Parts: sequence; structure tokens; C-alpha cells
Amino acid sequence: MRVSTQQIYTANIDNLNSLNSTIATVQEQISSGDRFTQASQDPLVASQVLKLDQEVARYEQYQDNIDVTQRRLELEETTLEAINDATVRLQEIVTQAGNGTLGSEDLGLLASEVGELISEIEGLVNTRDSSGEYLFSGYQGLTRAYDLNETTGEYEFQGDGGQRYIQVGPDFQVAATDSALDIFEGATGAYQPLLTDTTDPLNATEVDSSFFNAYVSGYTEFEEFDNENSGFQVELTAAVAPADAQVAVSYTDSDGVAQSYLYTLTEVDGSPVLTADSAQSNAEAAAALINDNGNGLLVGGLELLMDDAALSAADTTVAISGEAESDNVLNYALDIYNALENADTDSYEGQLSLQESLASALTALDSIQAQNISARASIGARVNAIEDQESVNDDYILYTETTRSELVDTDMTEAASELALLQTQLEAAYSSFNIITGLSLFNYIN
Amino acid sequence: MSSSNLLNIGSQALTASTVALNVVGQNIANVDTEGYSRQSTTLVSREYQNGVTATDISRITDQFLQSQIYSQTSSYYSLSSYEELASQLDNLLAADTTSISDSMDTWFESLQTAIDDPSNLANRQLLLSETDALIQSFSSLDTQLESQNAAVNTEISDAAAAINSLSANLAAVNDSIRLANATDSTSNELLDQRDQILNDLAGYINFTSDIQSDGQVNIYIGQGEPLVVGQTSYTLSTAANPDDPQELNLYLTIGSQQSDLTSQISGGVLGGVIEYRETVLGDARDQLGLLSLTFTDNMNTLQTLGLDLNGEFGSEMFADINSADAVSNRLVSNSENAASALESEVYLVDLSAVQATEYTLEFDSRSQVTLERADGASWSYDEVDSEASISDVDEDGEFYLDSASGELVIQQDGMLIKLEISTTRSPVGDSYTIQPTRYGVDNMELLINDGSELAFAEPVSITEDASNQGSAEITATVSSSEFRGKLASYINSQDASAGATDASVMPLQLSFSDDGSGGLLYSISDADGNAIATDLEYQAGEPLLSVDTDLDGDGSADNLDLGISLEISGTPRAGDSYTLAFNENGVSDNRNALAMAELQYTQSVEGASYQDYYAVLVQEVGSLTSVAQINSEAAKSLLDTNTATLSSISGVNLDEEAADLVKYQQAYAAASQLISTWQEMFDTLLASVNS
Repeated sequence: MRVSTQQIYTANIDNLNSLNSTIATVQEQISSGDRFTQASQDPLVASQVLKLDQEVARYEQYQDNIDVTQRRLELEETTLEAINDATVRLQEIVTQAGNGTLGSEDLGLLASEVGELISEIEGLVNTRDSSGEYLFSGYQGLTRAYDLNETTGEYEFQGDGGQRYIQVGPDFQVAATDSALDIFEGATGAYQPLLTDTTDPLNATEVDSSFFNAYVSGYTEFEEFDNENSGFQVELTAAVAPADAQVAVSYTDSDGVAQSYLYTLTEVDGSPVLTADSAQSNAEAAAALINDNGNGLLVGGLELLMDDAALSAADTTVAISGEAESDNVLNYALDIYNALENADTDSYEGQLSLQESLASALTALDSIQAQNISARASIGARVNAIEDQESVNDDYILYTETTRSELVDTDMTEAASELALLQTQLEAAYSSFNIITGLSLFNYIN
Repeated sequence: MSSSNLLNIGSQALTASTVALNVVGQNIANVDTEGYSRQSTTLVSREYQNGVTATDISRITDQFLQSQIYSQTSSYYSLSSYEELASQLDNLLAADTTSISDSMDTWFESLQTAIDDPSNLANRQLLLSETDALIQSFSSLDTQLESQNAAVNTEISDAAAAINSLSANLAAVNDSIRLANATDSTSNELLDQRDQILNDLAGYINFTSDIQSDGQVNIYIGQGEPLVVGQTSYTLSTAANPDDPQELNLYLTIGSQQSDLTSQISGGVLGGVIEYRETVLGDARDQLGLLSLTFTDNMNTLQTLGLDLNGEFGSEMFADINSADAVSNRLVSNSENAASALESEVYLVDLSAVQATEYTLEFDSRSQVTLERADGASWSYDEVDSEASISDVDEDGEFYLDSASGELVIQQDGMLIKLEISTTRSPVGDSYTIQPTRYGVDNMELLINDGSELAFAEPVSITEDASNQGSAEITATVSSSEFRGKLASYINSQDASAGATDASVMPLQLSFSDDGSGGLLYSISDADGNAIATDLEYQAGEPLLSVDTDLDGDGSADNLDLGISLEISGTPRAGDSYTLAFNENGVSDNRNALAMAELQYTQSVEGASYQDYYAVLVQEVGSLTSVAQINSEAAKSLLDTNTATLSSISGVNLDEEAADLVKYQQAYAAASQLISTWQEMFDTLLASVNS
């Protein structure tokens, strides 16, 4: 083939250009570490890489979410633990107060400790996180969870039952908050008697006390009694001179048999005294129900203490039923405080009332602790679950990054050897160019 | 035989050698001249008189190869100019700093951070800054696309100017060739010049050439439109596309006639940039527009149905996709239309059906119009099938056309097209271009600047009564920010004395009771105890308060949109009750923000998630670029091969010329020797006569 002089130059320059551009590409691959910088160099891989980058970003966000959630749940856990410690101390105080040897003054000292504990618990349930959000207010994070209502004298929950969920895995949302509604409210307390004045059956009203006061001497016994029997009521037939007032206690037992005990109510030294009506068939059993002081009846775990005013009261019927109390830890603690603070160890009623309050408080404290434990168990389970998720996420990120690296990272060995080869080629091209262009017939003629 | 013959032969040989040496000189002098074809001297021995004569100085080339090189040059320039633009875009789309996908990742990351702690104002403010950054990356990419369009326009007008000057030169060269032929003077250099002009022209546009026997050439472009015929050249000019004022079109003027060649042009820089504009540029902008429109609309929808940090319904986060500017930008009247458009608007009513493409709307007659999508799908609307009124047009395929008033309303592909034309002139043949998403990014604007206005909370919080025995979970779905007002007016419509107001209805109470035969009844009442639903039968799985609910108990659905509906999962029990409060203090509620975050993986843009949709765009542009690169390399190597072949035929080789130089030099010396010999002979003869 005939070769024109120009061709020698252009062909050589073209070759050198393309060699240089290849060297530049390989060098860029080595220095940047990326096999390509433009999508067009491998469109399919480029869109895969976008997807992988997105995946990594997504999982890294899950990890951040996990950190935040973990911190929050741990703060909740610590708070709940502190509350639990406080309730354990309350339990000790209640037990101590119940041993019967303490006078009003000692109880007053215990009451002031309970007061301190209440402040502590109030602070704990109103714990705020680092950004000032109340931990247990549900969705209403800027509202104090509990405030004392001056009118009712009770602590009231101000928030709502909202629970915040946070995404910690592709299909896993975990509850990052707990509302006080779920973990402090609704703690089941003792089974308390409920008095309803049914004198006018069409207009029954709930009452605290009537011609008698009902004190619980045994909560378990009362609950069983209330569950097994029905129609438990106490009826007063007012005194019409010269007849004495009559008291009748009646209920229907589990076999459907109506039980009834009749008493005569008289006054001795200005105090009401009960005597079993001897005309009834079960007079002995009826007499056995009268308490030691003769001024009350012991029925179904309740002590029904006749009121001074009973003798002058009109005909009254009071139905007694029972219901488990449901309240929050603060109000239960407040009940203990009130019981200790206002304890009247000198009167029989006072002693009965104190014993009842302390027994009821122990039941409530048990249930509060059970609630606390189950809340902490739930938090612990969530912390475990997100820790598991965290390691799954870590694995996934690692795996995705490996895949990404396989797709886009420069194979250094290959690139380095290619560079060396290109260098040799370029050097050869330079020297051959020099030789070829040096050849000319003009150098040899003349 | 005359003895002066030797002298004659010698002198002829001297002349011939001189001519040949001149040609060698010309060849050596032009060794580097672009477009130069080497020349060679044809020497012929004289038949009867003896001696030699230089009959011709011929130009050594291959006209067939030459015309192949023209067409390869134009396809190479076409592909490389296409590739240059495509690779610019390819770089932009995939580079970390400009990638929309990366910006979205960052945006959703900061949304997640805000979700973790929704009452934190700093996190909310950060999300707003990231929103600004996201808008910035959308608009900078869009601006790049816009400037590519400007670059294409510049390329077209530059190329037209260059072609005009080349074709004028060619016409002049044609004239010179004609004159040279007339005077029979050698025109080798003119022919080289002619071929060089054609070579240059091929870089701008593909053409067919017709070489006349005398060496003149005629050039035709497009579908055979003449560019140069003999000594006449015709002018190319540019003007705005009547369908789209943003684009320049190419026109050829012959006499007083102007014809639009844009769609017929192929090859060369012109062909390349026009093809890029048709296949990549518009589509990429349309897709980017659709992406931004869908994103902003989805966020706006959630934002306006959630509660912000102040306990109020959120206001729109981004400018409305159907803002006054946006709806009028989507429709362009062809500048040659006869009837003027009094009102022209395109609303996007269902983004899930909107496509990132272009439509043409054309009046076939006063009472019939045709809408055609770029992919060829078309719909025809005849006045006789029109809906009764404009407000009846609320579904795809429905339309309203009134030729008397000139009003036209069409709903198609999720767009609501409204056009009102002046009826004084016939609209027949008038056309309109609809680009529903082309300028979507222009409309992207952040409207809120206070992080507390981000609506992360849901409007209703539901609290279950502590004594509930059932396992039911209630979820409230609010579809209107006016739901409290709707409930209030429903209550008032049932009981005129209720006096319910927006502020008084919440919290609602939902309670379940026994119907006495194993089934459940439910009742809903407002905060003042006014009944909304009383002892209605509860069917598991059916939402309460929905449009299908029969609140008044007349046995058929009320079809009443109260803006709220309640879904129940699990099983409620008689005696269970729930409180549904207006969540105005719900600063720690992140449910609405979770729904926003969920959108990252929702397939809402033409069946793909935001980032997947973008990835498809990246891949498409990447593939087109890569194909263009491969094709342009192939075209280059083909061109190089043929150029090398031609060069090996017509290029100058200095060694060859050196040999020729020696050869003709020696021939010249030998011829001189002939004359000198003749002189010696003559002298010898004279001497012998004299002596």
C-alpha cells in the first residue's frame, strides 16, 4: 500500500491521542477508586448503584433512628425503675405503719416521708427528655403529664394515649414512647365497698356512709362474699315509740337461698347497741355477727359500724356491692399520705379506717409494681428487638456496600497492570514515531 | 531525417522535464495542504516527429471514495455532537453534587431526624433548609436542561450561518470551474477547493451531491431541496418554532418561498443537535417536571391534612401545582393560529395518570377537535357527544365542546384542558401544544419558612377507655381539614337546636352496645352529647362515618362526606368506648410525618417511586449516551479508514517525490546533453567544412 507523508503523521498523532486518553481514563479510575464516573460508561450498573446508595442511606437512617429510640427507651426504663424504688419504699412505710404500735405522731413522721416520695414520683412521671418533651404525655409532649387538681385534690393526667412509632427496619416500626395512660393509669387497687341508698328505688344514689359506716376488715373475704352472693343490703326500720329501731341484713347466697339477720337497735350510754332478734330462727348465727363492742356487724369481710344518728334516722335501705379501685400511682400515694396524716389512733373508727387504708394501699402497691414490671418488660423487649434489628441492619449495610464496591470500585491490580502496559505502548509509539519521521530519501540524495 | 531533429528532441525533453519538475515542486510544496490531491504529469512520446510532450497534469483522487467520506463525515459529526450534549447531561444526572436522588436521600434523612423528635424546632428548621436545597438541585438541573436547549438553538443558528457561507463559496467555485473549463485552463486546484468545501459542509449537514461533467457540483439537502445549483446558492435561516417558542427551527428560502426543514434534516452537527432535542432534551425535562410535580403535590396533600406545632391544619408546603402561572404555561397556541385563544389553562387533576410527554390539540372543524399524544395515541371529540355542561367533565375521556361560545373542556390523561377561543374567525387547522409537565420545576417553591408550620401530627387522637374488654383498634382517616365543620353542620341538620360548631364537636365519643341477639351496635356523639349515629348495626370490616354509611337509618347509604372515616381492626365488645379528640396539643405526634416518610417508597410517579423514576431517567440517558459514544467511535473509525485510503491514493509521499525529482533532474541533464551533443556534432561538421 502506498503511504502518503501526511498519513504517517496523522496516523501517528491519532494513535498517540487515543493512547493518552486511555491512560487518562485508567489514571482517573485509579486515583478516584471508581471504575466509572459517568452513567453512560455502564448505564445498567449506574442505576443499580443509585439504588444501592439509596438503600445504604435508608438503612443508615434506620440505625440513627435506633440510636434515638434506644436512648429514649433507656430513659423511660431508668425513670420507671426510680418510680418502682419509690413504691417499694412506700410499701415499707405502709407495713411499718400497720404494726399497730405507732401513735399519731409517729404516723405523722411517716406521712411526711410519703409526702417527699409523692413529690419525687410527681417529678419522675413528669420527666422530660433532652429536647424538653414530657416522656409520658402521649402526643401532647409539651403538656405536663400530671398536675394536682386543687379542687378534687387528685392528680390528673393531662396528656393523651398517643404512642409514637419510629421506623427502625424496612418493615419494622417500634413504639418509641409510652403514654402514662398505659403505664401509670388504671392500676387496679383494692376491692372497695360501694354503698347505694336504695330507699327510693327509682332514685338510687351512691353514698359514702349512711346510718352505718362500712369498714373493710378483709378485702379478700369481701371480694369473695360479693362475688358469691347477691342482693346484699342493710335495711333500717326507724324507731316508732315505744318500739325500737330494727336493722335487717340480707343477701341471697350462691345456692339462691335468701339469708336474713334481724337486729334490734337501742341506745346504751349514748352509743348505738345491736341485739340479735331472738325471735328469728337463726338467732345464734345472727348474734355471732355482732362485733366485740356490740355496736356493729361483721359480715362478708366488712365491719358495719352503726352511726350515732342511726336511732333517729328515717327508714333507710342501703345496698352494698363492691368494685376494684382503678387509679394512678400518685393518687394511691396521696391516699396513703392522707390516711397517715389524718390517722386517729385513739378512736375505734380511726383504727378501723387506718387499717383499711393500709390494707388497701398494700393491694394497690402490689398492682402498681406489677404494672411497672410489665411496662419495663415491654420496654426491655423493644430494646432487645431493636438491638437485633440493629445488627440485621448492620449486616445489610455491609452486604450492600460490598455489592456496590464490586460494581463500581476499580480493580487496582488490573488497572495498575493496564497502566503499565499502556505506558510501554506509549513509549514504543514515541520512539517509533521518531524513527519513522527521521526517514526521508532527501537525506540520502546529493 | 533532419539533423536539427536531435536539437528539437532535446529541447522538447527539456520542456517536458521542466513541467514534470514543476509538478514535483507543486507536490512537495503542498505536502501538508489540506484537501490537496497529488498531481502527476502525463508524458507522451510524439509519434511522427519523435520527442516527448507533457499532455496533461492529472489530479489523482477517487471520486467514489470522496463521496463516501462526505456521508461518513456527516454521520460522524451528527453522532459526536449528539454524544457531546448527551454526555454533559449524563454527567449532571449521575454526579453526586447534582443528583436529585442524592438530594432526596438527604431530604428524607432530615425528615426522619425530625420524626424521631417531632417537637424539636431545630430539626424542623433543618428539614426546611434541606427542602430549599432539594428545590435548588431540581432547579439547577432544570436550568442546565434549559441552557442545553439554548445551546442547541445557538448550534442551529451557527450551523446555518456556516452552511450559508460555504454554499456561497461553492457557488463561486462552481463559477470559476465553469470559466476555467471555458478557457481550457487546468482547474485541479479549483476541484480540490470544491471537494474541501464539500468536506466542510458534510460536517454541518448531510447532503447529496451531483457532479457535472465539467466539474461543477449541485447540492441537495433534506428531501431533495436544492442548496446549491450551479452558480446559485439558497439561504438557510432560523426562526422560532410556531408550536414552541423556546425552540429554533431551520428554514430554506427559495425565491419568496420559505419551507421548514427541521424535521427533514439529518447528519452533521445540525442533524445531531436536532435529534438530541427531539429524543432526549424535551423528554428529560418532562420527566424531571413530573417528578417535581408529584413530589410537591404528595407533600402538600399530607401537609394540609395534618396538624402543625401550633395545633392548626398545615398550610401548603410548596406552591400549588395548579397555580395560575403553571396552568397557563402548559398550553401554547401555535403562532400561526387564525382564531385567538381568550383563555387557555391545563390543570393537573390526577397526577397518577399524568404522563411526561407532549400533546397536540387540533381543530378538525368548528365542532370537532383531536388530541394527539407524542407517542401517537389520539382522541377525537365531536360536539354531538359533548357533556351537558362544563362541570360534568370530571373523568378521563369526558369533554365539553360548544362551538357557538368557543368553549372547550377536556379531561384526558389526568389533565383538565380548558380552552376558550374567539369565534370571529374559523379555528379549523389551528393547533395547540400541551406540555403538562415541561415547566414543572419552575413552579417548585417553598411556601412556609417556619419549622413549626410543618404538619407532623394527625388531626385526631384516639383514646380507648381503660375498662374496654375488646381488642379493637380504631384509626381515623381525615380527608378534609374541614371535617369538624362538616360534622357540626350534620349535627345541626339533624337537630336544629344543637348549635354545634367547629370548636364544640370534638372530642367525639364512640361506644359499642349489645343488640340483644349477639350482634353489636355503635353510637357516636359529639362533645355536647349530640348524637351523630345512634345504635347503628356494626359490621366488622366496614368503616364508620364513611360515605357508604347509613347514618339516618333509612336503609340506604347517605353518600355524605363528613371528611373523616373510622377504620376498626380487631373485635370490639359491648360496653367498649373510645374518645376521639382533636389532637391540637399533639406536638409529639409523628404519624403524619411517618406517612410523609413512607412516600419515599410509594410508587407514585408512573408506577415508580421518586428515586426509582429518577434512576430510570439516569439509565435512559446513560444508555443513549453510551450508544452514541459507541456509534460515534464506529463512525470515526470508518471515516478514518476511508480518509486513510483516500490519502494513500491522493496524498503526497515525499520519498516518491524525491525519487521523481532525481529522475526528472537526470532526464533534464540528459536532454541538455542531447543539445550539447547536437552542438558538438554541428561544430564538428562546421570544422570539417572549414578545413
